[in-house]
Amino acid sequence: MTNNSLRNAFGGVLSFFILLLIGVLAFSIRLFSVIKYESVIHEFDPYFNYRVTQFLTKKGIYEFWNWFDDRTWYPLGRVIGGTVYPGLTLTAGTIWWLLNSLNIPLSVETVCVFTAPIFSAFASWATYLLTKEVKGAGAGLTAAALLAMVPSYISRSVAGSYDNEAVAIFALIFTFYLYIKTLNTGSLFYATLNSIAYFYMVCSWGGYTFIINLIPMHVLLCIVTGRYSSRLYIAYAPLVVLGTLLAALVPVVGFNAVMTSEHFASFLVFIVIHVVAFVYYIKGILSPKMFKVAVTLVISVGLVVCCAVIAILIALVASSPTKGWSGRSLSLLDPTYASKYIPIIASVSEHQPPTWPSYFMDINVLAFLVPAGIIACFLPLSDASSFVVLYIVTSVYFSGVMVRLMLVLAPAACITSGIALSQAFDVFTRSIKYQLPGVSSTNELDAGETSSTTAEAQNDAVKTEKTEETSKDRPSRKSKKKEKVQVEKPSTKAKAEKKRLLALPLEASVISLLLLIMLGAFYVVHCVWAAAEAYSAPSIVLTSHSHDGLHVFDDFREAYGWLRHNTDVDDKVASWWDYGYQTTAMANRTVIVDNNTWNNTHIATVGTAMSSPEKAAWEIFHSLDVKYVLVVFGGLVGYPSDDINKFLWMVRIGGGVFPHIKEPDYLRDGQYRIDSQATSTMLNCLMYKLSYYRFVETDGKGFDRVRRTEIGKKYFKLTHFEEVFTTHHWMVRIYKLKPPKNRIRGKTKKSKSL
Amino acid sequence: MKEMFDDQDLGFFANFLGIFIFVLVIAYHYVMADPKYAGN
Repeated sequence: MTNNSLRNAFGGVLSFFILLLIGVLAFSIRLFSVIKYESVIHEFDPYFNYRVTQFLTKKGIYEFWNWFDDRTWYPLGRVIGGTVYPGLTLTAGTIWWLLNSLNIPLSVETVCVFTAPIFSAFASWATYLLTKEVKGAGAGLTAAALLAMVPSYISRSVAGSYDNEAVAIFALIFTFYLYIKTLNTGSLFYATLNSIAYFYMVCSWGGYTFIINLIPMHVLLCIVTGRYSSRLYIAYAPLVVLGTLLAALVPVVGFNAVMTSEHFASFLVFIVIHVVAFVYYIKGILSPKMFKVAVTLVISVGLVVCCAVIAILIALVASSPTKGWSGRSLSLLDPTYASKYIPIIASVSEHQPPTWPSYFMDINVLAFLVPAGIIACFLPLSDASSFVVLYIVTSVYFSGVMVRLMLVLAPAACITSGIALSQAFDVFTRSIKYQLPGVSSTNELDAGETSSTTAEAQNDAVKTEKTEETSKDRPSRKSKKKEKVQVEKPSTKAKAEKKRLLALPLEASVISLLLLIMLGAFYVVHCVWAAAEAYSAPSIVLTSHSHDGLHVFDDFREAYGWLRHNTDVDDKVASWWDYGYQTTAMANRTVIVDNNTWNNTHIATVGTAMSSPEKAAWEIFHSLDVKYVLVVFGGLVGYPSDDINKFLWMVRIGGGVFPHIKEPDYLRDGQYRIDSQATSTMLNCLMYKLSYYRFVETDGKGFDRVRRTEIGKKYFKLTHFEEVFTTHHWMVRIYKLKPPKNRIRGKTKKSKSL
Repeated sequence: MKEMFDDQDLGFFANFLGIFIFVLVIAYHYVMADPKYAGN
């Protein structure tokens, strides 16, 4: 057996080397943003996480747990300790602390920027472990290589994208790995590790509800398909008990772990699995006749009790208006829910359904390798492969509801595609290895015994397994080989005792391998392109290429810098909620609303102020102690994500709480306009005025490059606000509230009738 | 500063590494392949 052990040793070293390279690739493909722009935190949410991490590193963990932030949601404030998922912050804080104690003085910002690429390397290794448990090491390596590069995951984990998903995807895959490992081994040790990994997932992301619903679904599937075993019990029951207890420790989850409907599935299946275990136990003790009697007795009594309990439960749950589900989870189950009832959830761009091209952009080649992988999971079906099938099916559904959840689809797609590709590689490499001219003697013996069909050196052997595997590959590429395989007659000449090598023809295998390498090359090139061009933009800095080179728009940081240096520390700044996190993090000023969007009424107040005429808006802002108002305006440079384009959402959200704001007042013939055809409500509202004040001075005509039209009202003065700062490209405009007029005692306003 | 590592170099490195890993994975399958016979 030395041949075997030598082969295993060589394979082990090779797989270790491959995993190392996969880690390097996962890290380096995410560095485009740092090389093309700079080492900076991206987008909006990461700025909040960065600010929280700064606080943690400065003040320590006890202060962090008890932190009440009074610089946001003024005058309400926000309990940070109880409303943030601490996993990401604690992870980055620990890394920073570890490095600093080793005398490597990296700044908090550097650690935050590079956390995501490091954890994506870990996620690739976790994918290797998970797929290895399902279908073996070869599939594991392929799946890991695919995950290192898949654009959907890259989009949320580039260097600088310091958000929950950076560590949560790693936690998700690792939890699934430990679950499958427990399922395969029945070891209580792995069951405990599974609960701890689940705890880390709960700390990191609200998407943990996906795990605590998918695993019970899988357990139920196993029970229903007759695959109940003690290993299934050990994999599931400790997870529910330990996992729920640990989940309740996280302040943001707390008692939600046992009270909200998202967790009920796990408890229901917990009861079911105990019932099933009990039934199997009784079945083992009683004789078949006694067992039948017992079953009829129990079923008749049990049904009555069950119906009573279910009726009570339904009455309890139905009495709450959302039936116990949170708004976001409801919108996953009923995709139209958010657009009907919660405009804030519906307005977020990440919550929109994806388009078809986004599937090919985000998972590319994997889109058609996934069905092949699903078939491969059925040949043969095991507990682990049924889990993979369930995972891919549910994640495909959820990704169709919300484009943000393409991220959860990515690992599933990589695992299934890895399984499919690995099977294909297996077949082809085996065909090549054992049909090379002058290889082992056993081969020649086989060839001599069975070459009754042809006198050629190749073996022509057909097996249904091979035909199925070839039919998995893309028809356009494999049509050549398919014809070859189908043309060969099923071999009836092979006798039962004679060993016949199952392999495809040598040249066909070589060509197929080359074609698969080309397929992989297309995938790699697309992924690198997506990482470099599509997903590296930090969105705090914008670039455009014109005939005189690269033009950089750094207006956001210019505005926040101005605020930081030209206003008092306690001044309040009002803007639309998109810019809240960035304002508190970079300008260090108190804001009224931010991206957490936890208080709809407060946001509606700001929206109403933006939609009202100047005086009413001034009143609202004055009552909130606001000193400065910030608007983002893209009309001069053609930046499409400005406040005028978001204005309709301000009207909708404001109108949802304050009925005097009516959306039709701002529309002309159902169309949203800002030109001369716009309604007077639109032309007089604060957003219009603050965006277009003095805009006509830029080109004399007031041509808005985003809306592609001249503005309606060109010359007007501001009565209650004064402009204090406009950035270089007019992208951010800051206004100060004029102080209230002094009332002079004794004199009343002279009326004209006097 | 012509020797600085720019985004084109990173793109080339990532492409090369990706395809190299792919080929290595196929080599791994080749090493670990064992013959399959009819009737097994």
